[in-house]
Amino acid sequence: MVKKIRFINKYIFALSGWYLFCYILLQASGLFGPSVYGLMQLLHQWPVLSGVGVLMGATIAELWMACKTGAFRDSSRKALAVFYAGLLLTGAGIFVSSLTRFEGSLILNEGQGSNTASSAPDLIRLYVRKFSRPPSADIAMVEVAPFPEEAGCKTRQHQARLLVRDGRSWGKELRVNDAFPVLSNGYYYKVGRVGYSPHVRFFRQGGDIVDDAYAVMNIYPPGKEDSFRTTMLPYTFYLRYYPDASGVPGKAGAFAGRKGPLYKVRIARNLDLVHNGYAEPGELVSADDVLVSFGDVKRWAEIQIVWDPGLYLMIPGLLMAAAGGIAFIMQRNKNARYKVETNG
Amino acid sequence: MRARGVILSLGLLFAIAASLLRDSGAYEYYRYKTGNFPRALVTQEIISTVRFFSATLSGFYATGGSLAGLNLFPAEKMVKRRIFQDIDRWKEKGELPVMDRDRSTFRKITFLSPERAVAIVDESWFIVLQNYTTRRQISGRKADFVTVRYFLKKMWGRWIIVDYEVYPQGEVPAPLPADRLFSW
Repeated sequence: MVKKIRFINKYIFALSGWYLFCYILLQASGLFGPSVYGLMQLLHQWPVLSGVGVLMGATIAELWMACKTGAFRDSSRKALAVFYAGLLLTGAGIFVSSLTRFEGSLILNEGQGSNTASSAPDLIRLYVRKFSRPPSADIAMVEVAPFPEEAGCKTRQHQARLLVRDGRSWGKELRVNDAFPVLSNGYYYKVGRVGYSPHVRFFRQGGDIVDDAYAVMNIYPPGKEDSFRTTMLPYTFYLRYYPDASGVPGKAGAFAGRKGPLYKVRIARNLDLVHNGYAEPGELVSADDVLVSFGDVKRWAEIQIVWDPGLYLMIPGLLMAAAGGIAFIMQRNKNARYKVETNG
Repeated sequence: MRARGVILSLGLLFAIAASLLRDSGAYEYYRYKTGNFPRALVTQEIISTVRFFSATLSGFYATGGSLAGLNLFPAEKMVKRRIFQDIDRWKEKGELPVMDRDRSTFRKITFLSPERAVAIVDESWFIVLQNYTTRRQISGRKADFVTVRYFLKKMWGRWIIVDYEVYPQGEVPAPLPADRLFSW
């Protein structure tokens, strides 16, 4: 009876493993939809969870039967037991992650702070599962390291210095970068996008300032275009920023020989293009009856915040499975060699 | 050997079935990816949508913001809002810009998915400012030569303009904003 179950279980194990491999590959290939999900979001989809469930069931059955028949006394079988235990841990991690993962994004200018628990938070909740725990902390952006394109800077990495204050720590300083996440109080912090925030001022015809803010824009690297709109005006403001105007393509007239920072400004009122030209920082730009100026810039960085207890099971599980699998293959090869030698 | 073949085929079959069941648009996307997509027909739909958009837009300005045809207007809520916000601002000043489209040349239509497309159109408009009450012309005719990059999405069975960018004619549009493309 055990032999029969073991025979069927072997096929279920192989089928579910192969199915999972095919499904993940098909989704990553973008054949059935745009591949816009991260790996973890892909693992949380019901086709993956059901496959993982079947695979875990088959693994438990295999472990139970091996224990019953005493198959783990053999050393290569011991390695296989480690492999199965690793698979179970990884599967459990995927299920825990699918219930608890939180992914958020916080965009802060240099010197700006935010309380992630406030009623109108700056924290964008990108991915929230049923038992997620969004961060509840005061986060301040102390500094965004100069970008690689800026003078005298050799690093290719984008780095930022944060001050994080939550229930457990009082103003803990974190240095985060865009290569590896940094763990603090259970949350992973990483730098995502970076850019410049120009100082935008709107004026009345008399010269009074109507609105004054640093607008977070995707205008990095220099020459990249982004646009913004205000709720009160039907205009779209397109902007490019050049920290050094000497290399700006196509600039003419008064700006031809100019050095220093420069903006390229285009303003459209619905389909009507009402302004197109260059402007120095602080220079007034007019379009119809709107007066606007773009001043100095601040650097901003997007801080990606992740909370996922499932990772604490998944990572050791994957390591265990890999170690067990390698040990099993090595032991099997050793046994095969020993058999050949004794037969010879 | 035979059992291995059965497992390999079954696993792949289950994976394909799960991919199709998970997302209702998966089959359409598969057809689009494998080249079985009625590209010529959909291109025509997009051209008609953009032409209808321009015609209705000039109608809104010419009538001083009459809401007739608003439900059929193929545009997203925020696009509509900005048009009527503009008309209201002009009306407050007692003026009205009357926009007349002269020519539209479709430069390029790119499909991002079967339900998302980007159309780059060279357009020439003539704009005349009128007095809102007397409708007498109060400005010269302004020629507006622009290249417009329309972002379209298929919603409720028809194409809708979700956003657009305006460039001076001849300028090469900025690279597509990859982070925003699938958020519409």
